[in-house]
Amino acid sequence: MQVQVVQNVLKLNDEMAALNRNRLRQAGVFTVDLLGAPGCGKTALIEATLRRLVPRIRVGVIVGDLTTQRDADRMARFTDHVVQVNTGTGCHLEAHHVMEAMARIDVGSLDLLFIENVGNLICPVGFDLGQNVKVGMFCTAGGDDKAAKHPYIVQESSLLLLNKTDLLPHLPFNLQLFRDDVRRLNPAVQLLELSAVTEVGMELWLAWLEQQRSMKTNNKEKKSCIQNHSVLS
Amino acid sequence: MHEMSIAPAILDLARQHVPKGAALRTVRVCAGPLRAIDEQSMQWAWQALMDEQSAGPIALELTILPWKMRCSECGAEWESAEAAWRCSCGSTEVRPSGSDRLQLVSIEVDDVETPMLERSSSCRSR
Repeated sequence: MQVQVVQNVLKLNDEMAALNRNRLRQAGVFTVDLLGAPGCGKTALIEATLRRLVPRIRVGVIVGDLTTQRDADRMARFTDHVVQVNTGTGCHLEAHHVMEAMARIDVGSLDLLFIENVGNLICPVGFDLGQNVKVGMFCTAGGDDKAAKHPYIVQESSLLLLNKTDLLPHLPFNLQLFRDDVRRLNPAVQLLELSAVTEVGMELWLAWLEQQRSMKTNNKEKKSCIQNHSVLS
Repeated sequence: MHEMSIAPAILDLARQHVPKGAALRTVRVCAGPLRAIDEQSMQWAWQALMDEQSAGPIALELTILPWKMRCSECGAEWESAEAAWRCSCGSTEVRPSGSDRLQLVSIEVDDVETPMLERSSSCRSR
């Protein structure tokens, strides 16, 4: 006997993500889910961002890795609000990981929360965590074909980053091909090219963050606080 | 291998729809291409779950929806299992798009005495 169902398989995850999103919205926290392959520079970008923003803006980080506390240790040099999530064998973060991590930080005291997902260009894309935006990251060292080979992240991201542009003179990376692939896959998405190490291009990233936060943060008090203390203002 | 965490989500959801006293035999799932599900990996993950839970045999029937391609040069539209980059007109201005659906469409259970409405269901590309 057949029973028709037609229900979202990730219903439970999505319900937990909605709870996370609601809590973060009420707390006035703008939340970024940062996705990218291992070694593309997610942690380095967050470090460079923290270096620019803290303590003027209160930033928290939830960082996912299969194992070790190394990324949390790196971020802890800049902020006390860091939670390392070890997924064991899990290749991505799910909403329950974020919910558990949020219980370990004072979410209400934050203006901005980064969720650094487990290094992976495929698996994390389909899991809602309760974030405001998904930011997909590529790097020049990964090769110019990575956008074309990973259409999921290109189409599902609110912003794409190409990191390690300082290495371009040393790599056979066809920048125009990469840009064209991104444009064909997602004409609406903005692509920012930067180096988290030399910090060339960081201003564009920080400006994007600032703009998105002011658009998507409901808490008026925090919003004005961020704007008043912005490094860009 | 996100298939490893999707498999138990499918099983949990399917079990919620099994009428009392009936045994689950088949689950039918539909996935859009943006879910990046590999069919072989999904079947492997499903079998691993069956072994782990001593469940089954429960068959997983997975339908993966195709990419939809549109050529900006000549306007041709077609569907493909893979995101294509070249149109038959020669243009590389091809835009792939796809669904992010991941749905349990229906389940098959052993018959139970209580009559249930039997309806057809399908996995259609939107």
